[in-house]
Amino acid sequence: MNSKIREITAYPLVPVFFAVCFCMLAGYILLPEKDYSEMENRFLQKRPAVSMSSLADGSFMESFETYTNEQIPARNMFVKCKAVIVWLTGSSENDGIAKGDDGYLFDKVLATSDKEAKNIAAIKNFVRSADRDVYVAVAPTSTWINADKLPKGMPVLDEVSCSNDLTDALKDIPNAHIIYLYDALISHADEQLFYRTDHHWTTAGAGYAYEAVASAMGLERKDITQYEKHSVNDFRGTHYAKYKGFVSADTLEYYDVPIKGLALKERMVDNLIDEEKLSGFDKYGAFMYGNDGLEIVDTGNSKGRSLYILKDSYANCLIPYLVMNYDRITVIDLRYFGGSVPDKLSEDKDADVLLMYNWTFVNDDNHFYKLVGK
Amino acid sequence: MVFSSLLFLFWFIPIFFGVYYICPGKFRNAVLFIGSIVFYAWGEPSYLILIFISILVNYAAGLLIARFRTSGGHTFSEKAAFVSAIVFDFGMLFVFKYTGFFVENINAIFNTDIPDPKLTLPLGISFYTFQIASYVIDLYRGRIREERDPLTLGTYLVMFPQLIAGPIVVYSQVSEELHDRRVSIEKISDGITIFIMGLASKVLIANTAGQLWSDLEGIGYDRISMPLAWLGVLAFTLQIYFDFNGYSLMAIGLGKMLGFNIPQNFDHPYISRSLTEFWRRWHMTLSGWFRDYVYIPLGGNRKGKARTYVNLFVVWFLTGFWHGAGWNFICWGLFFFVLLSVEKSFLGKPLEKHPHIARVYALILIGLSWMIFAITDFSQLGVYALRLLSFGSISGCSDVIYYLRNYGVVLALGCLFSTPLPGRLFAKIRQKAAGYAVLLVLLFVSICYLADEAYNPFLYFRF
Repeated sequence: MNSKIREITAYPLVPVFFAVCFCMLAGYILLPEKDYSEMENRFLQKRPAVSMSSLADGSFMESFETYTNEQIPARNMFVKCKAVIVWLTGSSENDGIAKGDDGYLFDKVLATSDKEAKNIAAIKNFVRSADRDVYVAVAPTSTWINADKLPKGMPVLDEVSCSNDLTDALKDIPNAHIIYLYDALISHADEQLFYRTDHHWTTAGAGYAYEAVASAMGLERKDITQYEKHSVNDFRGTHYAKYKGFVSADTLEYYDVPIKGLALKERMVDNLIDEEKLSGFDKYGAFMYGNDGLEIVDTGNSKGRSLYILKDSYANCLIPYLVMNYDRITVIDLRYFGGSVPDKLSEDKDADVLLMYNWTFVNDDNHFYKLVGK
Repeated sequence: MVFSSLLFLFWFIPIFFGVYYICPGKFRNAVLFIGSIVFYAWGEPSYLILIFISILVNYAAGLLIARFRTSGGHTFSEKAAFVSAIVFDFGMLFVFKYTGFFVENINAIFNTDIPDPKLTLPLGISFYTFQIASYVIDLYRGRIREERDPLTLGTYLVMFPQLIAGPIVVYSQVSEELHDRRVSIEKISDGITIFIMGLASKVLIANTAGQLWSDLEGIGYDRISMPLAWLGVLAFTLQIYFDFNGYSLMAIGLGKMLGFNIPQNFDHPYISRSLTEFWRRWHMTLSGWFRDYVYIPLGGNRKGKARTYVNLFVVWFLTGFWHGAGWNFICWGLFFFVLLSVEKSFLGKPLEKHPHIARVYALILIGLSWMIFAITDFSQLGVYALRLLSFGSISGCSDVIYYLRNYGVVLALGCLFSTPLPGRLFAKIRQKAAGYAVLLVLLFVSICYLADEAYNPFLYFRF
């Protein structure tokens, strides 16, 4: 026995290596599973149940592998360490997010996706078959507005050529009106128009977008600053969730715009901000209570004007500005909307129609086909 | 299942090796067999049947060859058993790997409309076919004895370290260990050392270099500057070496932990002074297989000059085609046929005299050969070649700055670890605390990278 022990201590790598493997295995089996990763802002795979069919088609193995990756004991520590090691190699990039000047994080988008042409065609068909004016507002991304802060030489999606493609597609359609938010934002680029750690624009950024939208649509420009302003610190957004390196947090601001009611999927609320989310990780998700297929804002005004807005999440912090101009705002997010868009729009033939998307969405989202129905 | 995964590290290794070490020696082949089947079936349950059929066919062929053997040469029945097994082994490889290629080309040439059955490639078929063929061929040539225990032959065919991506272990190299092997703590320690080095090669260097290469594909070759195109050549050159050598090292390490001596597969190929030397250092078990089972049986270089070149052509055509069912792989093989022939006929001598020039010559051509290998579409390959020569685009080359900054350190480490220097330094501290510390740090960092689920493909799984 003694000689065995002596032998093992002569080769300490063997017990240490197996101890690591066995401890991790024990961790997987004994530690409680997590539903959700706060730091990465996503749900995690739990240990899958075995069945004959899931074994035969390999889906059990696949989910078990995902489970192993996502439930690794001390996951946050490992993932955080990886971000630090990457940083130590002099890299400004981790998991597709690059850190530029002033602590801004940018999404590395390599090239235009092949979905863009399809998406633009869908928008074109939608506008052409619409029975009224359609306003199409396209938000630039932080990458274009903060181009001077990008890491040198970083590949970027060519938003100018994308916007030209859209202009070309819509130019002969008389009821199409494109609102270029790039021009509206770039002249204020010295202010913080986008979050540093998130892909969305700030309330200030959305404010300049509102000015452009209001003037294009012939709306009276209302002043949101008459309402009480709130600031929430310690916001680390979607870019941070991937980057995970050293960055200082953002501050999220919003105004308490009064409304009569907001109809969500399963309940009515009486404000535009989900305050519960402000204390969590996904603070931007507080605007409009996040994304839902159909949300209806009853603003309590009586101006005789209402709006359909087809949108992605960028619009969520623009809507508070529009509240003052309309009696009713019907918000449709194609990703979660199950009904027919033309049918919905025909319910109120006098309402304005605004499409509000950001470029990466136009470039590679999969849901624009829903615009024209089946 | 792949070695460089948390699943393998923290589920397979503790459970499998736990059982393996506790079991008495006589059950270890059974444990290894079952463990390997689980390992294989994890990613490919439907093709498991092919492996079982292959074991049965080759086992039966082995018994028949031995049964009909006489001292006075090969009998007809013996030949028939041998030929059937070889036709079966390579027929399977042909059907599953090359049907789509031939259907496509026949359709293109004869304007026919034969439907492509679109078979997915069974994992590791290119590797295990060559392994099991070595058993039948060597048996037929009388170099080894037949295996009477189907479990032992089955264990040889499926043993998980080299089942999927090599090294290609011929039966004669491991037949003794299949029957009787000793596992010592020293060997296990050695095995773990090699395994961790392979893991780090793969996870830390190959994956990072591979990320750069896949970015270039994403950006589009027509949009990159000339310096970035050259950086891409370097990145892919490093990716494929650290990917494949990393896998081989992990296999060798795991083999040692099981009590096997799996042969070395790479010997610092990028310090070669000629392409001839490169192929003595790169994927040594594959070039060895082609030498022993194709080139030498064809007559090698003993049948005159013309015949030598014909033999070389056959070997390099097959080497290219083995790597993939596509014209670019055939071109890649023939690229080496041409250059190796040139070296054989006149370039070899001057290269020997100027070793520094020879290294640069070899490296550049190796890098370019990888482009033929990596870019399967000829028009895209043309675009890339133009970028490599587009001197006019140097002014607009800020893109290379981004990639140098983000990947430069890892690429530089890759270059350093392609030389024998780090290995020599490590040998000095291998059995000391510093050596263990280096290994544990590498293990920890690799786990961190795996936990983040970054880019993690295995290039040689396509073959």
